[in-house]
Amino acid sequence: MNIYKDYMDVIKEAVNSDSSNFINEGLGRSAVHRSKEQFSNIYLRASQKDIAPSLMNFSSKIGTAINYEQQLGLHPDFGHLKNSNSTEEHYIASAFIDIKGSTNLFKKFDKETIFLITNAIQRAGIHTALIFGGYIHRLQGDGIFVYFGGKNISKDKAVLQALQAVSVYTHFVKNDLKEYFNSQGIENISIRSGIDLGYSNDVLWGNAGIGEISEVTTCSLHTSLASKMQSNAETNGIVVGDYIKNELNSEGDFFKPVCHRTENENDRYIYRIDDRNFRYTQYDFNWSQFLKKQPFIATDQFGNSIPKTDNILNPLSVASLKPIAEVSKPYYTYD
Amino acid sequence: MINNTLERDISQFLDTYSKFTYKERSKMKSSILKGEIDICDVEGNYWDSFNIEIYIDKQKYPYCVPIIKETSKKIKRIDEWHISENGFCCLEIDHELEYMSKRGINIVSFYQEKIYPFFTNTLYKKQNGNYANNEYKHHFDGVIQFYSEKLKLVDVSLIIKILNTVISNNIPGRNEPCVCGNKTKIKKCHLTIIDFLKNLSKSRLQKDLKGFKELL
Repeated sequence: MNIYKDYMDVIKEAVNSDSSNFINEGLGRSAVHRSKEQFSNIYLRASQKDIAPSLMNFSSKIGTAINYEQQLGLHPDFGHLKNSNSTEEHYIASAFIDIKGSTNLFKKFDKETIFLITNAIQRAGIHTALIFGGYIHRLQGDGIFVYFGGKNISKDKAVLQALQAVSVYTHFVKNDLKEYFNSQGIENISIRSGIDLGYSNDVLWGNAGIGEISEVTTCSLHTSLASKMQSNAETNGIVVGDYIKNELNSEGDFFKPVCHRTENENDRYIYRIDDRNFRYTQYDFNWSQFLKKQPFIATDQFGNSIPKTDNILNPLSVASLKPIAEVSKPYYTYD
Repeated sequence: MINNTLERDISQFLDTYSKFTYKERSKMKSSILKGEIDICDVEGNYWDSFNIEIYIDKQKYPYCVPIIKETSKKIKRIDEWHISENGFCCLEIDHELEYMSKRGINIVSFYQEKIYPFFTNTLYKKQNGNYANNEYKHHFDGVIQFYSEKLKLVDVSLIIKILNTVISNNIPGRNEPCVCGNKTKIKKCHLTIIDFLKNLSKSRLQKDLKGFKELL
């Protein structure tokens, strides 16, 4: 996806300046390192707060107002609960996104390179969540824990945006990122995500912790289940709960119970309370098919998903249409 | 749906191009794939979309030529744009399409190889003023162009001779001189195109022959 070009450029620059490029064969260790200035320059770009231009072009097609002023552990709609004894019931969609296999990077690159790479990947994830109206609740290693929803947004919209954000990011990791790392001899970089929705009567917002060692967070079965479902997702997969499925108003069937993949009936339910007859199904979400249905995604000649962007910064060139166009030789025979 | 090949190929098409929907139209001869064709370039940039309908003969598929109708009216309804007043598009010279249909098409490949390039070419012309490669002249002039280019001949009498050879199925042996009068063996001269023409219907060949004879 060209929308992640700026993020990929940072990663490529980090890799190109990795000390492994300057290996002194006689010693087997790098004799030359990137300069501090060079590192700082890349780091500055890898940690920019603002959304990179390539992704910004895309975000204008989404049309969601972006809130850069977020603080971890302090959802803006529930900030009044910070260090208070109050609690509040309110629905929320929780998404856990985790990059897998980044430990493999240590086999190839120095710690500075890996630091820059993981920053760029995480920044791409944060920005993706932001353009779809997400609120970043917590960063956990390579993972991101995002809430979707709040007081001025409907449940179904929050669910839609959660699915859209995680699908776009999954597409990026599964394609752009993986392809580049494979070309660098790094394999098995992947992403797994879990998303679930808790309705108001199942979600309690409140302050957890003490003083400044605290966050405004949710106590909800469905936030916990989202995390659990993430660990049940297949490589580059997204697993979602039944309530997510119920709230998605879209043509097409994008959900298959996880037990269909694992061929183990025990995997059908992510949670059950037998004496209350509560059984909660987890589904593999077909994000790739879902993406193709989204208005901000185009499908190219061979069925690949291409984000629609404003091309103000990079005017399009008809020369790029020619290889496809020149195959056509139209005729006219109608009277 | 009775046509298993059609059912399989439509399923593959809808998986690949999810913004299309399929309408079987039980009482009609043709079913329709209806949706948006998104034009993206080779650099992965999105340009524009057209709404189209693809009419597929349910009984004959895969031995048929899908008919394409542009419904978003983004293309001027004049012959210069190879589109009829009703939006039906002339993707390609009929002879090539008939040849494809005789061999059997796959709707996904047809979309990728004929429909998608046609609309990309239309967009190219909108941007650039002319088509990327070439176009056939209209009506019978296009047929003349087709035979001239395919046979690499401009002499109408020689084209007629070749058409007569194909229609009468009086084709020389592979190592005999070519019917065009060249002393080269036919296998190294016009045999490939003669084999192509053999796939076309007699009625088309006879109609073409009549047209060429009128030029003399």
